[in-house]
Amino acid sequence: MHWKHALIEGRQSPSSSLDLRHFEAFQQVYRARDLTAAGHELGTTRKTIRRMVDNLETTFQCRLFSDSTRGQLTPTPFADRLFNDLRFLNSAKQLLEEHIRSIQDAGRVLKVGTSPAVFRTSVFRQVFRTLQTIQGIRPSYVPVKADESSKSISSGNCDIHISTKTCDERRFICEQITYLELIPIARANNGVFRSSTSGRNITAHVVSLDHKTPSFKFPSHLDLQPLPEANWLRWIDHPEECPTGTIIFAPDIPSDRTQWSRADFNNLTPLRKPLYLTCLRQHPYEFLPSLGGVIQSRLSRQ
Amino acid sequence: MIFPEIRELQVFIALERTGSFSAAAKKLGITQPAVSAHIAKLEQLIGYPLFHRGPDGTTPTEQGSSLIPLIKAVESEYGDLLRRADYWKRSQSNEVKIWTDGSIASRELQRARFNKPEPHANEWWQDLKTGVDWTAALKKFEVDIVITGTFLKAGDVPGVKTTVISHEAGITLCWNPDYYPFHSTGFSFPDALSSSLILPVDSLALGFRDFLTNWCASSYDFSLMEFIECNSEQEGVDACKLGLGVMILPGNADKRINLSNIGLTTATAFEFLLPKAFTFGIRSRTHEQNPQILATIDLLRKSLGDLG
Repeated sequence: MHWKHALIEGRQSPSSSLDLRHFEAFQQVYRARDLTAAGHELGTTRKTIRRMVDNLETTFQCRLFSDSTRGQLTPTPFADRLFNDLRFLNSAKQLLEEHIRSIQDAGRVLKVGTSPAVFRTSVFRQVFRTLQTIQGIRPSYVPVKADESSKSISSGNCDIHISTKTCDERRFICEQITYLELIPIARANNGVFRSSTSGRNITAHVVSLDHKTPSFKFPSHLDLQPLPEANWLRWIDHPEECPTGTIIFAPDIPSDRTQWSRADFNNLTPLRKPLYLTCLRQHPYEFLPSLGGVIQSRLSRQ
Repeated sequence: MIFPEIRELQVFIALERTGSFSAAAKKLGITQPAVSAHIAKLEQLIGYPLFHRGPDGTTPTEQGSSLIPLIKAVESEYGDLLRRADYWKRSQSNEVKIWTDGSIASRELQRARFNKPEPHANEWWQDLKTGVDWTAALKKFEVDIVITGTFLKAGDVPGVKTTVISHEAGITLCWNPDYYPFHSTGFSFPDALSSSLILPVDSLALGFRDFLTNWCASSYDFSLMEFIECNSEQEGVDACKLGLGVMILPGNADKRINLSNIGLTTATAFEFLLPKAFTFGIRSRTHEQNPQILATIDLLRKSLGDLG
């Protein structure tokens, strides 16, 4: 007396794992009644088709085609049934394929992340406009705090990140696309700025973008102090909190000319900082690695 | 356009369900880098990120969410196709797949069948797995015959036919008198409910657990939370004998399993309220025309009748 243990599941061994293309091949052979013709249709060789049909036959433990007439394959009743039953799978596949195509045609959303201070610069506006002109991309802005940039990129919160910070990690691609100018501006009183005494060292602030105090070769008569981004943004929106006469190397001149004015004098020249584009190396968008170069060339043309 | 492979679609569905790469890997039985590779290939094919990877889990993106129902449809059609093909293959070679629950009657039947093998059918017997919906499995051709009990209207779904072996009324409570002081007559439910309980799993009697839970909540404001689950009637009887708790079974369990002979005291309830509460029978597909399966059902019915 012995027990019969059922093990119909697990009939598929790892070597003969079925896939949708096996059924695709089967359908082609059924229609064409010939292995080579089916191979032509699907862009593969006769041997591949033969192997796929063999795979199906092994899994179902049943012959699919018998070559009774010379050169012509005849389907078995099992093959007839299988071909008929494939209608439902085919329609589901078709719906999925159409939907994927519609997603691809809709134009891909590109989320551009940057810190609010960089966002308000004219350089960034130029970069964004360039992105808008590229075919097939719909750029959108995502505010990203400077210390959260790599987290943002890897989590997918933004697809690319524009900042003055470089990134050395292997998983990111970091390219310079243009440069950002820190222009010396001064807090003016009714549009008038009186320079403080000359001959002494001038104290000025430098907006430290992306939490990094810029290291430039400063002229010796300048005494520079870092100004955090948040403070700079506060001062733009509330100029009354900034004492008149303060000189700031800022990423952009605020539009309110009664409160701020340029301070190009006493050999105060704008400081240049490179602006980088960072993205994930393994991002699904295949155009991202070359995007930096495209932006660079378009900006230089303007 | 090259179409994604079925494996990638399965990985996509697992990831969407579990919300983490490692949990999906565990669910599918592959390594976590393999899951990442499949998803990356799928994203590259479609050209869009399908999941946001975050510290608190992986969530689908806008494109990913829109694809979920379509991918699920393809995957379920594929599964249905394989099951239908398998069923057709079974019928060609005179095979019949049978699932049985953990009832003592089913075990006896299985033993009886193996004692006298019939020449015209190969029967593949398997235990009904807990948590598996046997009505769906029956309709999708994963199994041909299911021998199990149901409580009230539980197994009554379109597409499933029941060949009734027995109807039983009410429910039975059972305990070891050495450990519990209850009496068969003048029985008090709240007393029994406050002691430790032994209940059968859903696969033993579909719908029984739900009924008990609802009734305890509505009649006694008692929520049935902690209890011992028995996978088979024999397990429950053994636990009951050890004094682990009061067992509640559907139908007239005393008559069915002969509990008094083992030294357990029983009490019945709801016999008049629920005259046909428990149905033990052979379940099959409603429009089954396969002569093999129909013959097997007949054979099983007769054998179960012989067993009494």
